[in-house]
Amino acid sequence: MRTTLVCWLVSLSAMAAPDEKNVLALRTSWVAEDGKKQSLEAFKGRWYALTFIYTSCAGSCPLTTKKLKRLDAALEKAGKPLELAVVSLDPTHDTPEQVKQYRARYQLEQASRWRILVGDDAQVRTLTMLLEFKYTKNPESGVILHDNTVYLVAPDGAVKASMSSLDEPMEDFIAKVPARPAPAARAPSR
Amino acid sequence: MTVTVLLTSALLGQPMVAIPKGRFAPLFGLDVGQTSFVVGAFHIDPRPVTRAQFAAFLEANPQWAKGRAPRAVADEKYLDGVGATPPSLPVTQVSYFSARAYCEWRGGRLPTTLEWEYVAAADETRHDASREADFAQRILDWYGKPNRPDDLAQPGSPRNVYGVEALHGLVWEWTDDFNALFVSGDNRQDGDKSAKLMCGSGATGSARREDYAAFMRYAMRSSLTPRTTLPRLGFRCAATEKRSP
Repeated sequence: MRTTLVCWLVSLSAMAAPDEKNVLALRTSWVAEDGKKQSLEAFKGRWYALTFIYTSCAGSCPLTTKKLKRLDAALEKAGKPLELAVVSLDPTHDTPEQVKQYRARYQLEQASRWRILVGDDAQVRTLTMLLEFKYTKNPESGVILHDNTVYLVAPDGAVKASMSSLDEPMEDFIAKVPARPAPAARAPSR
Repeated sequence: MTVTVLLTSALLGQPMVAIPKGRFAPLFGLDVGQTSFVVGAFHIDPRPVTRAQFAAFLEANPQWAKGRAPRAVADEKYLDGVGATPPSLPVTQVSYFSARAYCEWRGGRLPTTLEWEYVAAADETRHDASREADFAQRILDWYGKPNRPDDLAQPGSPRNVYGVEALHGLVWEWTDDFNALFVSGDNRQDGDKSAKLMCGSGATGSARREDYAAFMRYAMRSSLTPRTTLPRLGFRCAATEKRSP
């Protein structure tokens, strides 16, 4: 599975503001937890949150995961729940079994809005570059140093807000998530 | 016949050069207790990618043409003025994404920073001259020289012991993980604990204080975004397996 930078380039000029980050500017390909291939195009048309972790991370990732759980709960409480795309920074080691254990470790088995995506190193590099999310893997210890950022992605792939997944309050982030349109009024029955 | 050979060479470039596996201590990235990393064997272009080579890529991939590549992958200066320079000179004004797409189109990739620094530490006779004062000074002399319009026509640093040329003295070059260094602007202002690039502490925290040229390269890369294009920023490709041009 290779990043297809050459063959696929969305013409975003018309819709994207200058210099706006957009996760759909280049195609990236992932494997979802059901084992099926998934591009971020699958999220097109919906708002969602996106961040990066790796399951063996003992540093900041547990804090990121806990914050995402709080974000998930707060968004639901605010009446605007979002899907959370959680992308692995360590595709070599984040096997389906590791992902399953990660869910169990953080009591996420029933977290139906979480989408844990695993690709390959080239996909991770492409997506992180589109977001200017920095990471580096120590080639011998395997430890990954990385940014801690959660992104709010709009239906067209544009990044509309971001926050630290560590110590930054999430109120501003939540405020930028548009309210869900009220359910259409049902036609009166005759 | 000669003209044909020259044209072919200009369009396709020279075959990639094989770089053997070895150990190398990059300026940054080593953890406490680590003295070097293993660098696996790979192949790399002997010179930066030329305008003619990049033009062939654009012809085959018009979505990367100036004016068509969206701003999310290249800034507004992308390919500015490139058409006015001779085709045999290094291509510049290219973004990270476009450089990466070019290398992928050729069946390769950008070199990692570790690979690039590993090859660039060699001079004509030594595999790792990065601690040698004469080598560092030659590079610093280039960094200290004001830009001139004809600089891209210079040969750059001579063929090193691996057979790779112009790693210094011609253009800055993209690497696949160019932004992977964790730095802060200035610790006196930022108040965090990352001190790697702050004045004196930046040098003392690095693997070799005397290699100020490498320090400047890391600082330069850290200043870029993947959309950035600059008149003196080009690239060359690498491959884990050998690729034909």
